[in-house]
Amino acid sequence: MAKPLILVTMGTNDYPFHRLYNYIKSDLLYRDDRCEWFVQTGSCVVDVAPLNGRVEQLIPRLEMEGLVKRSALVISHCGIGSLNLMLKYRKRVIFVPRVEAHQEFSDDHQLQIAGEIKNKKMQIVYPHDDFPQLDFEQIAAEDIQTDPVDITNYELARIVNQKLTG
Amino acid sequence: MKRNPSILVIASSGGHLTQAMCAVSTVELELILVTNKNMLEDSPFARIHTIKDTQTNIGIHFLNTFSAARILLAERPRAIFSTGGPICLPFALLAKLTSTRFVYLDTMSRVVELSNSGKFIKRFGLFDSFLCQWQEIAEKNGAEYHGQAFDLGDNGYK
Repeated sequence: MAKPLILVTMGTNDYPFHRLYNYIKSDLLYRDDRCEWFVQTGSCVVDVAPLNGRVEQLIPRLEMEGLVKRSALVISHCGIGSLNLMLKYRKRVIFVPRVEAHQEFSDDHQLQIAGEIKNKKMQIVYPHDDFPQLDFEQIAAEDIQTDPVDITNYELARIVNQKLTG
Repeated sequence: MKRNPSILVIASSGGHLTQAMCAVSTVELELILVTNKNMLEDSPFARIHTIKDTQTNIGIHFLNTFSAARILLAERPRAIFSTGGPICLPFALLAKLTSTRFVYLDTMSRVVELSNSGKFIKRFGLFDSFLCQWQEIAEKNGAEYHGQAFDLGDNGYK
């Protein structure tokens, strides 16, 4: 049986995200061979690789989508692109918003968008929260969704089209 | 050489680009992208140009203005669409100077106020249409509101 994949994505921006890296590095499952990890680091320097898995700075969008598709759990910064992909594949996600106070972004917009997420499979870890301990049994039992849902707002797209071409 | 009528889409990589791709999903003209990092392999864009990203570096914005002029001269789009970030500013300025239609959709990730790029574009009137993705921000800033680029709801989660 395939090992459940834990995908970590820190986004494509130029700010490092050491806090998220320290969270995952401290979790026991990071050194547990029962899980497979993929860590997309962006600008974060990762000095300890997971026991079983890959670490890449940036990967093409299609490859990321393929990883999201087969992941049992995603741990992600709280960027809009990432949120879109996780909703599209109905993933279980732990979002960690980047904050200005830790020099993780130039502003706190990820906290703003985090406040709008009302999904029972999406957990937000705010700066004052402890990162939850990952539970292998729960991750292994995840019902993995691989078919995308089209979440595009076609009414807005129709209006944009009209404004651009009308 | 006769060009296909095209729309130039300006969006930084990541969330801005995701939103832009949703928002132009029904456009049937040729789409050309300007972004800062090209991570796309399979995309709806006929051509992709990359320029340098910056938040506040005036020097990079200045250099990007020349890149923007070169791209606009080469592509001669019918209209320009952007969801930000700051890489769109030279294009907004040149669109104004050349009377090219500029449609701006402020990013969904700013929930309580306009983004910095949105504030700049609004303040200097560098747009033909200005849309927001949050109703309260739209009302406060005299912008149009037609919902969000994608649905934040449950979408069939089990």
